[in-house]
Amino acid sequence: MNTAVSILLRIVCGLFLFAIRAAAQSDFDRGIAAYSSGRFQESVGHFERALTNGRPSVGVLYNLGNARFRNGEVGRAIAAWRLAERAEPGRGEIRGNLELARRQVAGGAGPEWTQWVRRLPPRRWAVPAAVAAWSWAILLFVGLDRDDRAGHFRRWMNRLGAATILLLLGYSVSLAGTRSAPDAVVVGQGVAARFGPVDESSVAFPLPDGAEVRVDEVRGPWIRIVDSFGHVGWLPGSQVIQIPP
Amino acid sequence: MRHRDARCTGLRALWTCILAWGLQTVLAGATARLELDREFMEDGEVIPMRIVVEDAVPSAIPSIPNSQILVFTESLGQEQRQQILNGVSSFQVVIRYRGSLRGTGELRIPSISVPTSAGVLRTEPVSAQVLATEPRNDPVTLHLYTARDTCYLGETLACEIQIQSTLNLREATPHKMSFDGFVVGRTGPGISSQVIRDGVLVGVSASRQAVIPTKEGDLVLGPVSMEVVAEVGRRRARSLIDDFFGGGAELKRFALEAPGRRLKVLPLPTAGRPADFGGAVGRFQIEATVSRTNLNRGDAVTIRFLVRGNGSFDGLPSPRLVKAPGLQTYPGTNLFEPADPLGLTGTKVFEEAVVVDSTEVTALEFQPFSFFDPQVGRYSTARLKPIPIQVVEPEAGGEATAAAADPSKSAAPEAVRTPPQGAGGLQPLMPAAGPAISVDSAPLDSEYFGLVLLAPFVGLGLFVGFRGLRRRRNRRQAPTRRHLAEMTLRDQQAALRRAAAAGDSKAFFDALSALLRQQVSLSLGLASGASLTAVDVVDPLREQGVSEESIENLRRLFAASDAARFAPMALPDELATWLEMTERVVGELQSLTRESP
Repeated sequence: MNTAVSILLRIVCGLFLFAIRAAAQSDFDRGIAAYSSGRFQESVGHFERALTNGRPSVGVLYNLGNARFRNGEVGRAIAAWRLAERAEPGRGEIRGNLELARRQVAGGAGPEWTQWVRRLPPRRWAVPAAVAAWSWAILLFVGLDRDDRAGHFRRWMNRLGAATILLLLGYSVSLAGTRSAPDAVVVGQGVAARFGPVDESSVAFPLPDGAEVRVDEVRGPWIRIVDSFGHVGWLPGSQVIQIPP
Repeated sequence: MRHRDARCTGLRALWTCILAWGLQTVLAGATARLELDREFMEDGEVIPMRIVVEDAVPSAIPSIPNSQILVFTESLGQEQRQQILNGVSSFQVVIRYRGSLRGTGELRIPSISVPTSAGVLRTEPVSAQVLATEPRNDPVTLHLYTARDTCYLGETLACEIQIQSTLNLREATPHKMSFDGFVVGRTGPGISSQVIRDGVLVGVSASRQAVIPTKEGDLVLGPVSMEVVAEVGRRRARSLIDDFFGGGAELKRFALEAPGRRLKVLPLPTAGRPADFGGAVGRFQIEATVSRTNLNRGDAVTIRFLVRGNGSFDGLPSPRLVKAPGLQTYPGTNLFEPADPLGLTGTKVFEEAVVVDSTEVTALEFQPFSFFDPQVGRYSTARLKPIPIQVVEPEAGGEATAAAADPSKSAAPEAVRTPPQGAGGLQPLMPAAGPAISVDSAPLDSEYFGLVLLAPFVGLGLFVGFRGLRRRRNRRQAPTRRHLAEMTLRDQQAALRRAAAAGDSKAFFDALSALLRQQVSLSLGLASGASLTAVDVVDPLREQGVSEESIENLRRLFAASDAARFAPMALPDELATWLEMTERVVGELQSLTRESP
């Protein structure tokens, strides 16, 4: 009896998941069709539903970015592309579109080095660095009492040590770069950073739709941001989309 | 081998880049220029020249090369100047020269390398006109010069007015000049200098003026007239007050006049005149920038045209957009930034507002900009490449959604533009959604993952540290010879007591013999005490401050232990007495041993 109930539950769950995926795929296809016929706003709706119904994927995020860009939502387009870029940093279409959008945003994506950090994020360094670090540490442990100064063991240990140091350096630089690179995108028109985290505060400087900023501090619904020129100001959190590192 | 060559070449190129960058950085603020006082000179003059170096110190005085006209130059030394202008401090070193002119024609001094503390600086080439010597009967004369006798209609010309005097000038009225047929342009600052002509020092005051002929044919620029007061001689002073107020000089008023210069003004040729020619005369380069390229229908953008070069900027027409349906243009402001005092070279900026009222406009195209180049006597046309734009319908409610300004979008004629790919340069959609991804923060991107990387080294460090600590502790706890000896002593004392308690006289005296020798050897710092006798130890122990009573007791104990080897039997009471004596002696020896270092 219990076995039969279990099998039945599994079938129901499987069907449910299949239905959800089918709906998401259907929304994805409808989004492409609407985009192709120039109905960008409708296309944005379909891609957003595909994102909500199914799990995020590079294709959905990328296409959503395109649809938003053609719909005039530069900031939201950049946010979608950056999320897609997180998953596949080296993909040419994503990079090309991001460059296109950033060229249209004054004070765009910040310095060039931040682009390199995005292409080689810490997770790209982490596994090789961890393997190298543990291997080197094991070799060091094994070689503690080994008198093999000129031998092969010592030579390989030195090479592995050099590689480990380089990988750890790369990981550290990438991690530090990620922490200081812009991690949020301004969305919407007429966004202005304020001197303090209250509505009554004076406007410090305007921010264009799509400007990429770094979130410095979060205080309730307000966030303190630093733009690419180093200006510091406060924004309501709803006016930016934060991109996880 | 080839790899090594390639690597060497690469490294050399890298070093060259680094050096060039460093040199450029160092030299960024330092400049050097060669200056002449006048643009028009006469044959036979000895003229002053100078090289002005700013924000650097010359390490050597460069030489000015001779030419057919400049036959002899010599350096007169250098002087330093420090000045603060508008709060900005600058440092100048002026190297003075003089040179002799022989012959007539264009004096052209090429670029000169000036070695300085900031590297080698180069001056720009300079040129001047050397004219034939005019006969002079008066000590004060007025001259009017122009660079050419022939020019084109609308061309800007520079003329120079010079007062040359062998006398000391006291006063000068402003000159009067006829400009019939010309438009007067900018006036340059007056410059005074001294030249040597036929061995006589001549003071020269020069001022420059830009003029533009407005009609063709033979025109006369000038004449120029003015009055000056000069000192013609010194009379004997009648008093000190006369001298103080300059009364000792004899003054004379001179009415000066320079004849007008005849200029042949040519009309602009009709042959080869482009249809779009708007009257620009000069040699120009143009560039256009647009404030935004991603627009909503109905948005306005600002186009800036930059016209650089030399020529007549006053009546310069603005470059234009090609008229197209959906484009409305509104002329804006213009601004001229001259690069020289007369405004012969510089940059003129035109701004134009454009409203884009159609989504079908995909690019801003520009009309050709034609100008007449008087230096070569023919027309030229500069063309700007179209700037692609993207125009979309505004959102419902008319809210502006255009992206922000993009000053980098420009249409310089020399610039090579990448054509947009697909619609507006946007890459096409992806046909498949692809595998699912996580948009949350990845653990590998977290700084806590650094702990995983550091953990093996921390573990290794802890292991090595603990091992070293343990070794140190073991080493510290390892018994020394003295410590061993003390331990043996304690054991022997215990055995002695046990034997005394048990009444075992053989064991007692064996232990006594061993204990005494061990203790004495320890007290005297000897390696072994096995062969010691009472005679051997008495004197050294006495020297160490052992009491006579203890020495006596020690002698008795040695004797007893030696005797016991042959007759070890003793009563328990005797053993207790020997034990008490032994402990007293050993106690004293041990206290002395503890006190010794």
